[in-house]
Amino acid sequence: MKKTLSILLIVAMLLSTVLVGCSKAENSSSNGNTTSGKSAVNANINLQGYPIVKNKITVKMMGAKHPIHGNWSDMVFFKEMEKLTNINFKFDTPAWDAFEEKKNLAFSSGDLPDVFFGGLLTKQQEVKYGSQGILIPLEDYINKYCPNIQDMFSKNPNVKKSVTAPDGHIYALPNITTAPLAMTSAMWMNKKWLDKFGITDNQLPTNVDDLYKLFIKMKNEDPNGNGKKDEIPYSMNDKGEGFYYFLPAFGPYSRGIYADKSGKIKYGFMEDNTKEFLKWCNKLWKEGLVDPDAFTQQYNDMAAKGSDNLIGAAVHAIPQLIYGVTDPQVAATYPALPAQSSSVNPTQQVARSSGITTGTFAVTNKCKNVIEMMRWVDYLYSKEGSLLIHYGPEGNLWKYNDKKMRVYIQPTDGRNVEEKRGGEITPDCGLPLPKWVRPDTETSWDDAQQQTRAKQTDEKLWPYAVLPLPDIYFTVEEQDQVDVLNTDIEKYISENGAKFITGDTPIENFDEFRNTLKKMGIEKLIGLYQTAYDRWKK
Amino acid sequence: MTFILSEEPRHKFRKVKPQKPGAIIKEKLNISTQFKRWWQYYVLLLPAIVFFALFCYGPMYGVIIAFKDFVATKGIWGSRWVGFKHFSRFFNSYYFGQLIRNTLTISIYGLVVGFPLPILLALGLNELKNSKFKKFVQTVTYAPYFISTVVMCGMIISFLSPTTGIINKIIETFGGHAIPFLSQEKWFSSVYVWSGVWQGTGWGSIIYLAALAGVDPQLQEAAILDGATRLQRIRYINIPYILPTMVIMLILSAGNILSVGYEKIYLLQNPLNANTSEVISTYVYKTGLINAQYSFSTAVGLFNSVVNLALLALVNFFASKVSETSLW
Amino acid sequence: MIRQTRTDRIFDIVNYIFMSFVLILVLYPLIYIVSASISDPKLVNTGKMWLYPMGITFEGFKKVFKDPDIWTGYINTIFYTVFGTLISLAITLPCAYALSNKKLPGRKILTALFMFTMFFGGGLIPLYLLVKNLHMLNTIWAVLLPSAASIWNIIITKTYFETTIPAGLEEAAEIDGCNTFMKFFKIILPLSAPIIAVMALFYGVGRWNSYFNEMIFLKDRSKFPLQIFLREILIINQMVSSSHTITAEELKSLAEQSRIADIIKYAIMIVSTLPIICVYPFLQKYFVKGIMIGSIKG
Repeated sequence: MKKTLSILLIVAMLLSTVLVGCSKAENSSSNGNTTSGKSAVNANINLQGYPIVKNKITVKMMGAKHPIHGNWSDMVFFKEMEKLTNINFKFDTPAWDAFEEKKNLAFSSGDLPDVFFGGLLTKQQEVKYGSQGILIPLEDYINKYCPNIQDMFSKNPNVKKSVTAPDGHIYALPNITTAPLAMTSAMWMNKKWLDKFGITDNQLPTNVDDLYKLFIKMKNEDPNGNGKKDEIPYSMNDKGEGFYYFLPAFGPYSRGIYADKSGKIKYGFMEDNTKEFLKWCNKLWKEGLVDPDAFTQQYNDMAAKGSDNLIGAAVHAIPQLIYGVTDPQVAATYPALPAQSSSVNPTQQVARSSGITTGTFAVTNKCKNVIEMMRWVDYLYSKEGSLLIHYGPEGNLWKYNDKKMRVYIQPTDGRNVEEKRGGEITPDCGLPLPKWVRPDTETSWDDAQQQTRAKQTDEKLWPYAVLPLPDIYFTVEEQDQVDVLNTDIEKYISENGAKFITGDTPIENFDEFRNTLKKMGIEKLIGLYQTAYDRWKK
Repeated sequence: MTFILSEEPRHKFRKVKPQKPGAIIKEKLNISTQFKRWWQYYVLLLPAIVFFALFCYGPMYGVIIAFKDFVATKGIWGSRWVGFKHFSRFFNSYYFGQLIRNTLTISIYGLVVGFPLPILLALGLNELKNSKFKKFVQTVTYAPYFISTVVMCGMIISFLSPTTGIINKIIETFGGHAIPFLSQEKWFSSVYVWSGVWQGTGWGSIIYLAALAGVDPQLQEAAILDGATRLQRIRYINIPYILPTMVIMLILSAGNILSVGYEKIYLLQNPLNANTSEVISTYVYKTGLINAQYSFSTAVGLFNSVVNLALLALVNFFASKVSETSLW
Repeated sequence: MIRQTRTDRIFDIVNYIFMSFVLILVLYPLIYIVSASISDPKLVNTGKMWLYPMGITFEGFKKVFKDPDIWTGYINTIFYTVFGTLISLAITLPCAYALSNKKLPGRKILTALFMFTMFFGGGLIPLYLLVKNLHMLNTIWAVLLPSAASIWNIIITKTYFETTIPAGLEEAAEIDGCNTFMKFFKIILPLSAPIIAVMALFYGVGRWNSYFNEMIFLKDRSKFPLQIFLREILIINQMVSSSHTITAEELKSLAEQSRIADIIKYAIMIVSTLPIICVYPFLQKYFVKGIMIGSIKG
């Protein structure tokens, strides 16, 4: 009796899983077939000019909802676009926290939207799903219906290369910025302390040894004038990653993979000069010139110290975020540190980003209105369109003043500008979206701080900026190998780099460290990147 | 001194007499009698059976993902079979040893410290005569459990900061040097475990308090009349009474040895303490961040489960030999 | 008469000292949170505020109570907690009682089958597909059902039944002509107040704090529980600290958001946990000793 019962129960449980599993089989197999997403040109579409469709259409759109966003359906941006193009959207905007999971579930269950807008698609996802036909190739549509995107490609040839997958197709559109100040980070110096030392903007150090001497001065000479030796010359809030800001000064563009001037792929931590860099960092750390909380604190803790006039220098978007100065005129006087050089690398160098964020817009094979959507997104690459998506239309968040420059209209309900921008104007706040930011978009704000940022970047950083690696794609097989190698290698260099910096591991172990990297397959990794890079260059 | 023992608890009963050969026919006839006797119990079990069949066994075929190269759009059945590829990737990882070592260290350290403390707290609380004080202490000690992980870690980082943290300020007032707790490998497991103790002891004592509530007060009075001291009463009445609960909790905890959660560690981690703070779950989580590697994380999860189950079975076996309580 | 021996008095004193020590140790950070929720965040972050509030501001609480999402979240969470707990108890208690009877045929295999699920599971994707096929996506059932029962709790309850219900009681009931249902509902349950209270607490708290299933299965913000809204605010801090690749503009906006999040995070914590903390003292009275008195005579 007991035995039969036991067998019965086990069979029942197994049956459940088989039943549930098999009924799902039908579901997943339907993902593979490519219901042709090609929409034919039909009478509803205007191929030139606006609106894009004569009768309103509704498209399903999926994107990530950043914590700062309000409801997308209430946003001014979408309403303006609807007025212009006559295209309406049904939104699916999972919370940021759950977005990756939700996206994967969408792919797994076949519940795909028509378009991904702010879908945070990785290059791997583009290649994987593009090759299966889930995401459709866009280059034909671009050539036929998207003059702005074509313009962007012709003016920035690297961009087209950076969005083309190894199979030659373009599966997603990027966010591009060509404004220098958005591509470089600056280290902002504490103006009050520099004044105390009598150091002017032009006298800021341009090599790391002089910088070290400046830090020493900050530490010992009590520039905040309170009689206590509580100054923190150099602070950061990103678990110790901030140190690597200075690596280019020693030669290597990045601590990881980068392409040097001759197009050869190198790995930062395998280079000899990185040893000098680590020695320099260790010197700073040992002598107490770096914030002891550098590896643990969060942004707010650092900002609190900065407001208390305890910090000498830190890397961030604007000085206001570090030092808490609220008056833009005063903040504009805080200088940026020029790009640095060193004894082993006499040319000043600082790293910059490519300004390209891929995967911001893609069309799935469920979309029946491809031409319409491509025309819709094309508008965002025009000058007016980029401005619209970034800051909203005139009159809401900003207006022109008599100098024909833009000024913000400060919200009256206690919110700040960014809250309003992300809350009700546009989702382009914290979320990469398709657009093309021209330099003059950033510089035509009548804001002293913004102007100084632009000027400082142009003079002190941009001429010396180097790009470690352009946006390159891997094939699915290559990507798998890269992922496996990178998981352990990334962890290894991150931990050991930190230990070299603090001196927990003596710098003499550097060669042993490099040998272990070799054993972990660093040379294979470099080879994989070289293949992908050479492919990109062609 | 003799104590009056309670009636024999239910779980001790006579052994079943061995069946005689002619009993087989009796068995068959008894199936319907058995059914008549037990059907009501099965009705009581029905909601649970339906629940587990549907929501636990239903999705269980997903375990196969561990043996495939899962691609979301191909579905579970359409993805390519790769056997033990993900497992060998995990076992051959440079960090496999470190991950196992750290996970076990943190887990066992946590168990050794965190298992007895709720029991001691419950026993002590049970003896408090002032019920207002007792209620107050109970509510206060159980409150920390509700602090969310994110806020908790923010507070830990804050309190332990070498420059602004209160713990270090106290150390310095007593003449010591500030210790950068979170920047040194050797402190990580202690920080993790003791903050966990702070958060979880009050909550963990609840089950023991509930069990202690069942001790027959007549027994206590009789013991007092016999001259037993407080400590003796605890030792000979209270503790044996909650012993089955203790054993079960221990066995269940053994079944969670490899399951150190990722969130709290991830928030407290940084490159300087990673050598002792990286556990299996954070490693897998970070891998997943790079490229939704479902297959790999499922494979590692499966490995965890197998080890946990083995350990649980082991501890359960010992428990059944040493005490009368065990899971099966 | 109860005599107090010397050792007993020493025990009492030691016990009270120990408890007071525990009290202070636990109380301090709790006071810190309350103070921090009405203090200037900068003073909190630099460590200047360490016990009583400084730079008192109610901006945090004001912002929290102005946010309509918080109230929606509250109502939803209360609903999910109450009904979810009832469902969980309805599954757990009968099951544990049935399994506590050592003579039940199939008891061992059933326990083993249930326990197996504690270790092995299919993961998120099959579960999502199942919920989808049951047409429960974006409904309250997706929140209430998939996590309804925990084998851990069933085992604890089963142990409780095994150790506290004397065999004599059941036999007496059977002699009086009770069938199993009557035994369970009329005799066992009323005597199990402590374990019911504990299980209500365990399941209730679990549901109050849960957010993951809700994030995955729900789409409409109007159905979200409080925890999701809380997390939205709290993760902003993480994002600011770890972003290099976003533009300076985004960094600027994130930093502003982070500042705001800093002000309200302690207030939110208090607002979201106070109700559930207050539940405990009410359940405490069920832990009263001597609930068994009079149930067995002789």
